[in-house]
Amino acid sequence: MSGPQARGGLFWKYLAVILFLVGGVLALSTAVDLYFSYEEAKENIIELEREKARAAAYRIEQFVTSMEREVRGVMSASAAEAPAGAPQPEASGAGGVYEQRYMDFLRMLRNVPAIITLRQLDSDGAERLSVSVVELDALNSGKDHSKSPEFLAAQSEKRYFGPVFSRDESEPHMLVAVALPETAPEVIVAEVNLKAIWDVVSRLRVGKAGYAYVVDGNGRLIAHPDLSMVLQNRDLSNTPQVKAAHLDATAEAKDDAPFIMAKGLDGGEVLAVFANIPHLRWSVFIERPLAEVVTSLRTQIWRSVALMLLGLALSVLASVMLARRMVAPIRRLQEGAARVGRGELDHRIDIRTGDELQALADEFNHATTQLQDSQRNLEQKVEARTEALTRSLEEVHALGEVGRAVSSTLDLQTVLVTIITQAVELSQADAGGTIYEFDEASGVFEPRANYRVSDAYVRILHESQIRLGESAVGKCAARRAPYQVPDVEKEEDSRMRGPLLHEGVRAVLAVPLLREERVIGALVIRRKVAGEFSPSVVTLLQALSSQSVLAIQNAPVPRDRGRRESSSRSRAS
Amino acid sequence: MIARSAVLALLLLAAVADAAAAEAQPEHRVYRIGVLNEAWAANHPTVEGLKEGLRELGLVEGRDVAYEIRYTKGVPGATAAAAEELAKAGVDLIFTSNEPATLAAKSATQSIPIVFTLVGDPVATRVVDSLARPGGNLTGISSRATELAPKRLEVLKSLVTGLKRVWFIYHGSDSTDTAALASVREAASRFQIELIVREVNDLGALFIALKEVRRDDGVLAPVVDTFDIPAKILDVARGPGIFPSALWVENGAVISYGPDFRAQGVQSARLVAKILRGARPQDLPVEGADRIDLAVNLNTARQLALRVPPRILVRANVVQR
Repeated sequence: MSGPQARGGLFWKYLAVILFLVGGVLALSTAVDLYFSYEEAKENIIELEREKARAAAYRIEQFVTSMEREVRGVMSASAAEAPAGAPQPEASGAGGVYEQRYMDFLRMLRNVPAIITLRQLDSDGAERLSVSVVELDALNSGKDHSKSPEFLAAQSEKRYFGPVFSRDESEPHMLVAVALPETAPEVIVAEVNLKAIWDVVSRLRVGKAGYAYVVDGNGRLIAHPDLSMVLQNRDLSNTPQVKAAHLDATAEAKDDAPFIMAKGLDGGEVLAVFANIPHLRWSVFIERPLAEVVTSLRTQIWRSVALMLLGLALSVLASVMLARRMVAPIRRLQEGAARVGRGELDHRIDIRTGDELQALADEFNHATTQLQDSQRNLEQKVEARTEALTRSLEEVHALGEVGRAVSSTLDLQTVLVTIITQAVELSQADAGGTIYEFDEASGVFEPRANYRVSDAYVRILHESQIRLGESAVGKCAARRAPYQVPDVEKEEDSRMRGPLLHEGVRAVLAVPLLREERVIGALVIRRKVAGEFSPSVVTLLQALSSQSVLAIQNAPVPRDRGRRESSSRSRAS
Repeated sequence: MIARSAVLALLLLAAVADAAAAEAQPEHRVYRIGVLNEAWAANHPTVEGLKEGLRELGLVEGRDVAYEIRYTKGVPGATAAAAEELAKAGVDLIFTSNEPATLAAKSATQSIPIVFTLVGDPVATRVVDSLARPGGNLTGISSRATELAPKRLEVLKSLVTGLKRVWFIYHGSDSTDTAALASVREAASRFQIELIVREVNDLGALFIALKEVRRDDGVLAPVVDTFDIPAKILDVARGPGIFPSALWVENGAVISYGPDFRAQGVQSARLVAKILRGARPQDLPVEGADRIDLAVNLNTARQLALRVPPRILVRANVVQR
């Protein structure tokens, strides 16, 4: 019950952690990236527009200052040509000074088409000369300009840029007045056609619906693509963008007024940037509908968001896979442990992750192997012990039977056959066994009882006339100790080698029958497999040999050799 | 692997979308400009000026604009017919030079934008409602004839020392010159010049008037060339005449003061370009001609035994030798 629950828990935990890490980092980075790229894009747009505004401001300033330079140029030229310290020209005596200036003015009208009219005012502000493209020229008209702003400003500041006015209600004009410091305080006033500035402004294209315009120091609209706006003489000094521009102009040097969100001239929300022309106290504005700016940014944002979503989807996929990969070996480990726990000791856990999990699995497998081995050893031991116990019981039983045979019958032959039968059976000697009796007189070992011995071999045994020290039988007797031939093939000096091998016998164990150190016979068992006989077999044979000795001792003498022989033969078959 | 190819696919998609967006921009088209004037050849200076101006603004003939030029060689009625023709042809804009061509175009269409040049007084001649707000479907360049008429008198006076009497001869139907009359009178009285105004309505009256012009009289040529009055002045009148354009000086007139035809064409190109790119003509104020030229023919001056004073030479943009 708790198994699958626990398993699922780990998977979900891993998934949550990985997802949180991967997805969280991705989302965070995208958000940060988005924020910065948004800011950057906005900044780029703003910077681009400010650049346009600055360029326009520069061109306008260039134009206006070039006008001023022209006027100044004609003034200094005339001043240089006029005799030094020329007397103040009187209204009546116009004289050559004005004739010369008249020529200069005419030349300038020819060279600078933007200048419509040139006027010279004397130190009292009276018009001395007026030359125009359109109006009639006037010499010494004496018109009083002493109260006019162009005269006053030029007198005090040596330079004046007047407000924009329109001639014929169609084209913007401006007065530029200049006074030369080193000459008599006279002033030249030029009426300049500002269409060139207009072109700068009206040709400025900003995005789809952006536009540019120029506002003067008093907040009045000077130039706008739509002339009618200019002609309405609109006062914009209270709009936030113009206020910002003027504030910026007074603050000087502080060049970080970036942009203003405000209502545009045509009502909608706009993003406005500006560039000041400090010289003229004019400001060039570029406005672009906010909606348009946002639209251009929106595609970028959508792209980022789409990429992020894709990334998130991928990270979810990757998280699931990763979590599964992390959980799978743990599950296999768990499963393996469970199987081993159920007793499947030959089960091995197969994990090839190349990490600690694999090491853990290997350790577990090793432990399982150990467990399996120790269990197997235990079984073997138990088996061995059981076998040993069984054999002991059999031996006891056999000895008992032999004992019973010895005590129940006085027939030696029967007893000896019983003994050899038990010996062969218990020792599992597959090539049978023989009990010899030693005939001290002839010094020959006579086979007395055989069990599982072929008749042919019994005959050979009779004929062999084995003596003390000969063959395994003679040797054990000579040594008064059990003697065994583990491999008959190797006993090359033995007389019995050939017959034994012929019978298929490979190993022989002989135990002497001793009575008070006197040899009375031998007990021999034969096996068809080469190898040592185990000590327990030797012990068993020794026990049986002593029973045989007892039987032979108790037997009535003299014994009938021939009868015993035939009986043994019948038994062996 | 899957992730990488997916990202790649997405990027590819974005690129394709971008390309598609770029493709979706308005396709390039060739604007057809109908040109209407009463000239004797296709290469009228205003047309040449227009082509030059548009070229400077990036509208190249053949690639961006095509011109359908109708010049009517002064044949009566041909201008109106040509105007109808252009309107029917469905050109994108009609470019006219001079007052009759402009009026013909104006009556031919109320929808196709018209940009005019060489119209002396667009308001007086009812071409537009006002300079600032032209109204209707047209705007253009005013050659400032009315405004410049007194100035012509002044220039003539500068040229001819001791000028006492000036003839102002124009056709009765010519509203441009009629509009200038008051200011010309005022200037004449200021210069203490006797002004003889002759409104002629037939060739006979014209020739009678011209015959009366004395050798030391000046003549103020009209801006509008109904009956070819300026040409007749040039041919018949004995006294020096001042003309409204340098064209006449090149053809033997002694002096002229007024806007250059070609310059007007160049100037109008800005209006044309704005309209082709979507502006409405009624939103574009009529502009006054930018460049006012003073042209003088020294050869003719010598023949008339006139010594051209420095003031004229200094101001002169065009000097014919």
